[in-house]
Formats: sequence, C-alpha cells, structure tokens
Amino acid sequence: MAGAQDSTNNTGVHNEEEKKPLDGGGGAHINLKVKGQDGGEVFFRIKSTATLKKLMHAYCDRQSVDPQSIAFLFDGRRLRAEQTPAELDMEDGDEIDAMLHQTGGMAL
Amino acid sequence: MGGGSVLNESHLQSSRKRRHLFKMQHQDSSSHFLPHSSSSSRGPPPLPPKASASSSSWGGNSNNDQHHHSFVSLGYGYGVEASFLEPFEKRLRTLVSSPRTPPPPLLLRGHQEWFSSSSSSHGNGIASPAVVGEWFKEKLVVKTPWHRGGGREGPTPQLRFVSPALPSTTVKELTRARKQWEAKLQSSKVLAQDALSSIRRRPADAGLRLTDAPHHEPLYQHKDLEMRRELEDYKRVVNMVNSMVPLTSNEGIASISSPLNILRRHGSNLQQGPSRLFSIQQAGVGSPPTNGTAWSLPGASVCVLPIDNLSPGSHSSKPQTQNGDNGGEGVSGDDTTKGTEKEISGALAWKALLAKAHNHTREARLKTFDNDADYLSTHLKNLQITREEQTARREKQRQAKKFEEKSEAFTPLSREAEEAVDNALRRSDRNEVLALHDNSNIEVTRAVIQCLLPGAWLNDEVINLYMELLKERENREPKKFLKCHFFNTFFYNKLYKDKRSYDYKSVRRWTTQKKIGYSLVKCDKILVPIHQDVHWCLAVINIRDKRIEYLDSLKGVDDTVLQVLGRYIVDEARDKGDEVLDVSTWERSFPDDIPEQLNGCDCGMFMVKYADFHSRGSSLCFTQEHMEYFRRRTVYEILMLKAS
Repeated sequence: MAGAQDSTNNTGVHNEEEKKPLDGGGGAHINLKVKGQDGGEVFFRIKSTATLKKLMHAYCDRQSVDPQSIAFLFDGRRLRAEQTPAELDMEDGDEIDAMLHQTGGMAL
Repeated sequence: MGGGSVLNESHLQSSRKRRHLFKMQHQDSSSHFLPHSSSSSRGPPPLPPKASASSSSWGGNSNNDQHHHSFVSLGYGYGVEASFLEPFEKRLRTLVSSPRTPPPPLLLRGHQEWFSSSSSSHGNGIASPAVVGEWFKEKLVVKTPWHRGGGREGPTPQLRFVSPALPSTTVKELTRARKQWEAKLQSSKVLAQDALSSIRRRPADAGLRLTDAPHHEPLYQHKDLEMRRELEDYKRVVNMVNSMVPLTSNEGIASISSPLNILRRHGSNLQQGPSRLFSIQQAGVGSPPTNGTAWSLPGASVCVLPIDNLSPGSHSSKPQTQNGDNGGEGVSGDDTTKGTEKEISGALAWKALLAKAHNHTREARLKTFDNDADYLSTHLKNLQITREEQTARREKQRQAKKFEEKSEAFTPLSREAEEAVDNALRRSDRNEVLALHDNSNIEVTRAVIQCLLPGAWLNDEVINLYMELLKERENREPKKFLKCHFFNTFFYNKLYKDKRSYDYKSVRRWTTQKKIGYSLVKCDKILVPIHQDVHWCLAVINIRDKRIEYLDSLKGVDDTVLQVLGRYIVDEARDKGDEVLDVSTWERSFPDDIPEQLNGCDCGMFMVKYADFHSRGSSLCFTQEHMEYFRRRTVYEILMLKAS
C-alpha cells in the first residue's frame, strides 16, 4: 500500500484508479505490481481470491497490447488467468512480470 | 608561259628546302660559292640580258664538258642523297625535253651540253625564256651545291672519290678485324715456336729423340690454319696427359728430367698431337715399361706413361698424405724441398682432400642413414599408434552410431505418433488448446505448436514447455539423466537483457528452495536459454565441470552472457546457501565442435536439443539433418506432455 505512493513508475497518473479493487467480492486485498520489460510498473489492488484475469486484461488494455502476446510471470512461473493470488501465495507488494512472447530462428 | 614559270618556281622552292638542309650539312663546301651568288641579282632581272652576260654571271667557266662531267659524278658521288636529288634532276630533264613545256629555261650559251636533249632551245634568244633562265640559273647557282663543281675551278676531287658503297666504319672494322687476326696469328706462332724450342731443349735429358716433322711450304693461310689446329691439339694433349698422370705417389718423379714430367709439361707423342711441329718418341725408357701403366686415351693410340718408381713408395707416402690434413703444398715433407714437385704435391693434396671428402661424405651418409632409420622407426611407431587410435576412434564412432540407433534420442515415431503430430500441425483450428501443462501453466494451442512446422521459428512457449518436460523427465529417472536446472526463456531477460544491466534481485526469488525443491548450485548443469532478439542460443553453467559454455548453432559469440551467468551463479550460491563460489578459474568457452545450423529457422530446435543432450549427458551427436525429425518428435512429446 505504501509502495503505490513510493513507486517511481511512469504510469503514475492511473495509479489511483487502478488501485481500486478490481473485484467487488470479499476477502483481503493485496497490492500487486506488474512490471513490463521496459521497466514500467503498474500497480493493482486485487482481492487475493479473485482470478488474475481482470488484472491481466486491465494491464493489456492499459498497455494497448494483445493479451496473447504477453506472458505473465510470478517468480519465473507462468500465470494463468484462472489462478488467484491466494493459490499462488502472493503477498502484498509482490511483483508480476509481464513479458512479451519471444520467437526466433535467425533468418539468414 | 607564266603558268609554267610559276610551276617551276614552286618546284624549285620545294627542292630548295631540301637543298638547304643539305647545305647546312656541308657548310664548308658550299661556302666558297656563296660570295658568287651574292654578286648576282636576286629575282628575275627586268631586262633580258645578253646571253654572254648571263654566261659570265653563271660562273665564267667555258669548259662545258667539265661542267657536265662534274654533274654526273656528283650524281653518283652523293648516292645517299640521290633520293631527293633525282626528282629535281628528273624534273629538270623532263622540263627541258618535254615539247609542251616552255622553252628550256637555260638558254645560256655554252651550257647546252648540260641538257643535251634540249636542242630546240639553242640560240633562241627570246627574252622571256632568257629571263626565266636567268632566274633559274640564279637559283641553281645559289642553291645547288653540286653546281659549284662546274663553277670556276672545275670538278672537285674530294667529291669524286667518295665511295658510297662502303661506309668508312665498315672499312675500319675490317681493318681492325684483320689486325686482330694478324695478332692472333702472331701469338699462335710465338706459342708454337716456344713449344718447339722447349721440346728441343729437353729431349736429351728426357731420353727422348726429337725429330722435326716433315714440313712443306703451304700457302700462308693454310699454314696458319694448320698451326692453329696443331696448337689446339697440343694444348688438348697436354691437358689430357696432365689429367691422366697417376696421383698415387710423390717418389721417383723427383728428377726434373723425368719423362713423365716432360710428358706432363709438353704433351705426349700422341698421333693426334702436334705432329707437324714435333713428335716425341720414347727412347731411353724400356718399352713396355715394367712398372708403367698403360692409359688409353680416347681416339688415340696407347700412351705409355713411364712411372717406373712410383709404386714402391706409394704405400709409405699414403698415410703421410692422409695425416697431413690441412692439405695444400706441405702435404708430404720430403717433397716440399723440391719446388719442382709442386704440381705433384698439389695433386697429392688434392687427392688427400678428395679422400677426406670421401670419408666425410661417407660418414655423413652413414649418419643420414642412421637418422633416417631412426626417423622411420619412430614414424612407424607413430603410424602404428595412430592406426590404433584410428581403430579405436572408428570403433567409438561405430558404437556412437549404434547408440544413436538404439538411443531414445533418435527413436522413430510410431504410426500413431505420426498421426497425432499431423493432426496437431495440419488442422486449421488455430485456437484449439492441444496441451496444458499444469505445473508450468503453459497452454499450447495449435497456433503455438505450429511453430514446429518445418521452416517455422520456434516460440518461447514451446521451448519453455519442453524445458519443463525435460525437467520432469529427469525427475522421473534421476539416475539416467544429469541433475539439471532448466531456466525458461525469460530468465536472462530479467537477469540482464531488459535493463542492459545485471539485476540479480529480479530473479532472486525464481530459484528458492521452496519453489524448485533443490538448490541450484547443487545441480550438475544449469541450462539457460538465451534469446538474442531473433535467435535462440543456450548457455550452460556446467557446475560439475566448472565451465560456462555458450552454444550458438550459428557459431555466434556473446561474452556478456558468460560474464553475467558467472556473476549470477556466484550471487546465487551466496544468496541461497551462503556458499562462496569462485568462478574466476572456470573455463568460459564457445565450443566450436557443436552441431551447426545450416538454415535460417532451426536455431530454436538446435537450442532445445542442446539442452536435451546435455541433460542426457551425451555428446551432441546430431546434425542439421535430424531437425525435421526432432520437430515432429517435439510436437509429439508436447502433445504427450512427456519427454522421453
């Protein structure tokens, strides 16, 4: 919660808005940070029992990217939209990496 | 008429130029009539002058025959210049003789003989031809050098006697050559005389009788030729005898009067010798000589060399000669006292040298043979070793091939597997989820798996899933496979690449004991996929062998990767287990002998297979050819969610 104000992200304008609970259901809220490959950070406040689907879509909308082209990682593991922070033992202030999918073959 | 004169003038002027050149060459000869020309008026005189006046101005010479002769002789005398003299002459003659042309310009009394054919012009006295003639005459007088002969004093002798056919240089050369020949002749005569006289002086001592060859009085040249030939023969015989003198001994030839000496110095009585000058006949020495040696010379009768006293002393002197190693004149002591035996002792020295050289050569050759033998034996050994090695290597290769045949890495897909693969790759529904890996949460749709179609680029989903499968395979059979940790394709991006700076913190939690269940530094190998924008590579932290490798199927090199990973493993060891790992001595390499990618699309497949074979702990024994099979096999393994 303090991290939201302290953060030096480049999308601070939307922070307040995004920090609003995405899921109206009960349960404890946790703040999650989504970090892009360019170093940009987006903070979300999410119920720990809610799926990450809304978070992912919100992030992709905000970044204007195709959800199919982004891989969300939590400590190096892929996140699926159906998972909830509770399952993943996420704690307040944890960081989610948003990575662009990669491909390669090296055309000569 | 006027036109004719113009024509004449132009021609005269052109020829005048040529004459002018000529004049410059012969300034001395032309100078003496220049004053004469200066006295005459330039250009045609206004009034037709009397023939006598013009005659006097012409030169005042009444001898027309002389005049004519001088002209002719000049024509020949300057044969070199005839090429440019002739046209003018010709033109003059045609001018005079032609009926159409105006009357010949020379209407000068006493000069008709010059142009003998121009009879029609005689004594005409017409004014204008006379004008032309006067003008022409002036040109002639001034510009034609050959005319001066017909001037006052008549033909000049020096012009007459120049011979055009023989240039002076040729004469000089001929003279010089003749002188040389004469000198040669003289010298040869002297040589022959000397030889004769020396022979005449010697024979009494030599026990030889000298008789003059019967000699005639041939022609001078013939005699000279013969003498020269004899002299050559003589020299040749002397040389031959010198070369044939046995060099075995230095005794017995001591006396100056020895026939051998004489033979050596003055030649033998060979038939092809200088028979006309002299002949040496063997008189005193018994024939055949008891100790002599018969030498047969090519193209000659047998020449008997009297070397009576040679053989007895030869044995005693030989060691001496060989002992006197330094060669030169002082080879044998008893000989040095006699200066006359210089040649003999020299010969002995030469012989000693020869023997020595022979010895050296023999020793050297022996040594060479020994060396060769040594070299060959070692070479043979090496060859045998190499052969054994090669046999072993071949055996190894055969085994490797057998292993390949047997190995699970190359097991052909079954028919069902092939059908499944085709189904996965060929169907059109791109969004159909074909595999969902629970542990990694990786979902593979048909769109994703179609990157395994031949020629397509591999995406990270397939690679990451395959890495997971490899890890599971290892967990299934930990004894069969090395203990490896497979990072996903994002690891290196988080660790270094995205920020272009080393950031351990961002990946610190990736490898907690809780998450992976083991300590990273306890693994044998850590396999790190490296995404180089459009290219897949694999980095291997080989903890077991203390080595960090960078495997690029295109033989690329990125030292930063190795540095970053080295630093990472140190930080990881410190962070997770409070271990101090020193990687400064670890080998960082870019192996060159890895399977090489030969197209522009298979790097991902190569990378995956590097990881696969590293996990197996086997050598990277695949090639580009295997890639199509590997792609299909990978599809099948992903579909089955089980790597084998």
